[in-house]
Amino acid sequence: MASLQPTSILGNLIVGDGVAGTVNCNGTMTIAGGGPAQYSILRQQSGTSGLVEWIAFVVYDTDGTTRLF
Amino acid sequence: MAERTPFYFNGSTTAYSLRKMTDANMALLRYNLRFAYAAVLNANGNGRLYTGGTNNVGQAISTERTQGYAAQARNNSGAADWPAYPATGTTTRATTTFTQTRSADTHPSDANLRDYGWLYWQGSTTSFNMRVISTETDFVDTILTDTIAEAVTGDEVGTYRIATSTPGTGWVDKGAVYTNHIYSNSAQVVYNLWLKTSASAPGSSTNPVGYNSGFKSRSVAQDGSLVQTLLLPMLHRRVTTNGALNYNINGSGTARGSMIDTRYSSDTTSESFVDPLYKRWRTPSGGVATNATYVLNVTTS
Repeated sequence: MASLQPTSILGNLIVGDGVAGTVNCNGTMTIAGGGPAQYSILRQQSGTSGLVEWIAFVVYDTDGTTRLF
Repeated sequence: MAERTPFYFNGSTTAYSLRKMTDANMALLRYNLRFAYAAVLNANGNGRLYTGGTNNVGQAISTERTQGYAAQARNNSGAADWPAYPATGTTTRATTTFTQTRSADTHPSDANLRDYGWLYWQGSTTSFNMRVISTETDFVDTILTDTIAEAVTGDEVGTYRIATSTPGTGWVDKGAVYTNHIYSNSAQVVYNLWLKTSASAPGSSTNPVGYNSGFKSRSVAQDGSLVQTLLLPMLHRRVTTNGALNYNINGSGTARGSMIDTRYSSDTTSESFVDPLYKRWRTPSGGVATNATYVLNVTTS
């Protein structure tokens, strides 16, 4: 199994092209564009492409604007 | 203004999901709200119907025919001096005044809504948002209107009836309220007020999900905070401000039993001479006829 050293990858990173592969992050993984203290749900867009996206997950108080979660 | 259907926890620790409750899922909560409301009425609390008071419901009057009497002194003219037979009269024997307590209640605080209320969906495919239910109209559309309709035309729990004997299982006798007299204060039929306090509980228990310091399952028990602190005051507000579960006599709404005032429909005559008076009487007798019907009605709004 290959291990990436500290680096930046410009463009797509494909893991397990054609075969099953696993991505392990032994530390912090930062999501570009994510909101601080924002809970999110990972949503798989389709079964063929396997693309996933983050969906904001919020519970609002009675006023509809104050976040409880 | 819209239905704000609660979520409930579905699944197990390994297959977890939230589902929107169906109408059937909420049947037990509606029933328990009616059950709790009935308990308040049965304890002579806010919303109860009783006799006496300020008369904001109506009256039922019991009348009867009275004997007619006429007398005439002899005038020594050589013939009998009978007076004409008198007519019978009528009198009011009793007037029953019905009153319902309709004391104002307040909408629950935001803190209570947060602590005991449920979450509803306010999201989209790109934003998974839930919100604590809060507005009165949302509660009305989601649960109160259906609860009231079921009280009026469904299992009737939390409502009254007028009847001469128990309407069935679950009805509590609140005492005699009207007695029909036809003559000489002779009671013919006694009508009682009955309160439905229980029925067969529908469905299984499905608890809504709320959020305060974490996702919490809300008990739908009749003595739980969701029913007692949130929904019961709101139901009382519907009674006070919206006319729901209000009672009237001979007005609009769904009939809940009648009180019938009857009187003798014919009469007999008699006479007697006691010197110096010729006396005649007309006395009610025979069959009975309806003079007035007093229908107790309950309204949904």
